[in-house]
Amino acid sequence: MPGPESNGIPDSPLARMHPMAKIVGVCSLGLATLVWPDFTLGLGIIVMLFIAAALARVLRPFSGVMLGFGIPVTLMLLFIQGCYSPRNTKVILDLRFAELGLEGSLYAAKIVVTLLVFLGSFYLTNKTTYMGRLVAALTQIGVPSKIGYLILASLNVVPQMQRRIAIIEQSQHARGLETGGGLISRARAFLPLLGPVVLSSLTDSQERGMTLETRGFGIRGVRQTSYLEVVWRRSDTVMTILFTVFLVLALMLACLSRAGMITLAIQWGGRA
Amino acid sequence: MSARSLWRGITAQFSTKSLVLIPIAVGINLIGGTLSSTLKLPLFLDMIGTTVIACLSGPWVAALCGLLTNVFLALVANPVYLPYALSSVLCGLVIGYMVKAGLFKRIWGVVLVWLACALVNTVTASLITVLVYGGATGVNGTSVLTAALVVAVKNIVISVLSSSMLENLIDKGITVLIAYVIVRRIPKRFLSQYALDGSEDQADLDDLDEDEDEDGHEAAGASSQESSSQPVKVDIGAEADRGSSPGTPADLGCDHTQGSER
Repeated sequence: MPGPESNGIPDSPLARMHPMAKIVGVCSLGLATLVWPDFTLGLGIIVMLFIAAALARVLRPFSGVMLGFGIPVTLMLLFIQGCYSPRNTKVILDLRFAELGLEGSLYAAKIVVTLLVFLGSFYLTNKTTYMGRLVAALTQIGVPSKIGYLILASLNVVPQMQRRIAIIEQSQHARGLETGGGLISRARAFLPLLGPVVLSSLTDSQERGMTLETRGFGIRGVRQTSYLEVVWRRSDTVMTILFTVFLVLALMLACLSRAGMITLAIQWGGRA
Repeated sequence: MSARSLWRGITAQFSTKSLVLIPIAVGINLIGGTLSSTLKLPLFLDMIGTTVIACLSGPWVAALCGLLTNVFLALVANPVYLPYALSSVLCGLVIGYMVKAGLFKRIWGVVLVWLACALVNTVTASLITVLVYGGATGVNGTSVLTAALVVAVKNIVISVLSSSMLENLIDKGITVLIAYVIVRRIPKRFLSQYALDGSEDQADLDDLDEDEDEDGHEAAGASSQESSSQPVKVDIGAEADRGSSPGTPADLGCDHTQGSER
């Protein structure tokens, strides 16, 4: 199903990787950060993600997302958890109205780092994968093709509805609908804009349903073939094994350090 | 045995017609969000489609629709929205079963749906915010409210809960009201193909819709976008006017919330 997404992806090792291998990567990196006792591992992974983004030639939007999300959430959580976490005992900074506690700050840092690892790896996967390939890969491993259709159709329907709503907005403007002014008048403009979109989309869906039925969408017991072939290469196997080994290692080390048998991380004066 | 019949009931909801509706409903959800941000309303309004599809095809389809909406939001907007899929799914189920129980036919039922939906969303979304994100996500104004409340009451869980409750009561009230108006606008010829305990619903919609029936057909039949949007728009305006004049509880609630936002 060719779409606008097929053009926007620059060719890179990451883009050629099998989508399932990337999903394994997202899970293993995220879980490893989650189980690690403090934020140092996550910080390392984030640096790696930035390098990967540079290799995949999506560094600019990637850093935009990471900073655009990372900075506000760090400030928020440092404020909420750092100043008001119930487990704060050691004060590291005395603001006039509140005290910044060590334990809460460490906890906030851990959460932010985990979130950024998940967000970053997910975003990279998303930016370097053509959705059609992802869905083809999903159906390969046995996800029902109807689910695949739902994902792809949702992706296609939304831009289509946005075009439609632009048309409706213009025509309602032409009839004298005000979309500016105070809150009440803006709220009143909501329904005349939304109603026509919804109703025309619903009638549209009727046609879609019939079209799909005539092409045998509802047939049972037949394995649908895919237009796109996704090849699993040797490098994908290597990457999947690497990711799994990494996750297992991180899990073991985290367990050992929790049990107090080895000290991994820098001692921050208190457990985060 | 009962589990099997329940499962059969669930799979029966996923006919091709319902499956085709899901992307549309996901689109409506997202369009609601986009519209409210272009009109600069301080709301999400991203559950209109889920509510409409809950009325058309049943609870489990609505749940799947909620899940897909959040997956889509995570794909195109921000992965932060992914964990909140849980609250969308639960809301879809709750609305679906309440509609199935016939609550969407009367005004007090709609108010109940609104309250239940707001409650479910408040509890699950706050739990996710606290457990996954430690108190704030930083993606909307609610986080600022939470931070302000933390300063006031010095308790993270309570402040997240109360800011989320305030936001949800307003947001879901308007969402449910809009969905209610839309569902009553849908021509009954269209509704009849989705078998959601068909006969009762149809009888009820018959007496609700008798005067606008012709317009509905006209809207369904017209091929061009402009000409089809005209009669529908007029209808909705008339409906809103007529609905607000007797001062029904749902409308009072809506007026109240809009007043309080100001």
